[in-house]
Amino acid sequence: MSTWMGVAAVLGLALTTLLARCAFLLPEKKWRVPAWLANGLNHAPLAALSAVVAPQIVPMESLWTLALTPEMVGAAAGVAGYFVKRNIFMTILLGVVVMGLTSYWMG
Amino acid sequence: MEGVKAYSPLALGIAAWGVVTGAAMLRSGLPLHLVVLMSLTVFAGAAQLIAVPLILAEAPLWLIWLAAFCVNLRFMIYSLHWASYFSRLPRSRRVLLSYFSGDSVYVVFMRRYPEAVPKAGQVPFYLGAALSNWTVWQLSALCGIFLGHLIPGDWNVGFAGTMALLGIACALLKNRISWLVAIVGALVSFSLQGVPLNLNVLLSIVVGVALGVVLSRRSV
Repeated sequence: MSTWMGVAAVLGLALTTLLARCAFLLPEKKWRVPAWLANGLNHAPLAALSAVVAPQIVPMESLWTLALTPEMVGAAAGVAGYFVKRNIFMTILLGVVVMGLTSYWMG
Repeated sequence: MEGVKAYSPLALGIAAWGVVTGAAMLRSGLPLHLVVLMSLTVFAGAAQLIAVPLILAEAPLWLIWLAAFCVNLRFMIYSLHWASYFSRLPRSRRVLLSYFSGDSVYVVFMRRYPEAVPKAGQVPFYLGAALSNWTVWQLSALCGIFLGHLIPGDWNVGFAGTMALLGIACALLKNRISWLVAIVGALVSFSLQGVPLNLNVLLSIVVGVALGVVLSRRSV
């Protein structure tokens, strides 16, 4: 791919991403989200997060072998850390440390 | 400032994810100038990681853009929600604000202002969280691009990013409906792993929103 094609590809990416981001903000029409839909949209962030996180913690391959991976142990520690301290930073810290220790210990 | 403070617990996780994304883009073999340009203008980790192999394979431009657009569909759902907060601002302001829209900014903001009505202080809060997120992401992505070769290949640096997302998810578990949305969302996405363009994530969002609509109507 030539340099200019590459630059065009990247700038096009930037534009499509911006369009997705402002899709419903672009028209002058005032979008009022109806109450029933707003109730549902309140759950969109959580659904997105669990959808992104789940496969990263439990990959498909480990389902067949029922193997416990360091990632699963770390994630469990991270969740426990959150509910004990009510602090997102604890999830990151405990999750990463426990994952590291478990993978070291498992070799 | 309040927005900066609300965002700060996430900074470490986002930084790790930024470093990984930067390093992954450079390791892919894309020329340095394109990697830097992409990181600075596109500003969307998942879309960038989807696009890189397609650009390298010299895929047609429309396919590259379409793939990124699918990964970015969740931003459209967010923008529908943003509209009920920001539709009174002038258009140029709305577009500027939406450039900074991302998962972590959305989540932090919705935790602070769960009611979908415009209120004073929302724009400064948004800008505080959004500018911190942009700065942390860009700096860490540049670190990944220029220093990524120093990280041993077997270190799972991205796991800190996963844990940041997991922590935010925990903070959103407030009632029975939200637990159900999280579990169902995880199961839907898990069982559809490997479908192209991260469509499993989009489907999980749709199912989660639908569950929220049905269940909160019943409980009212």
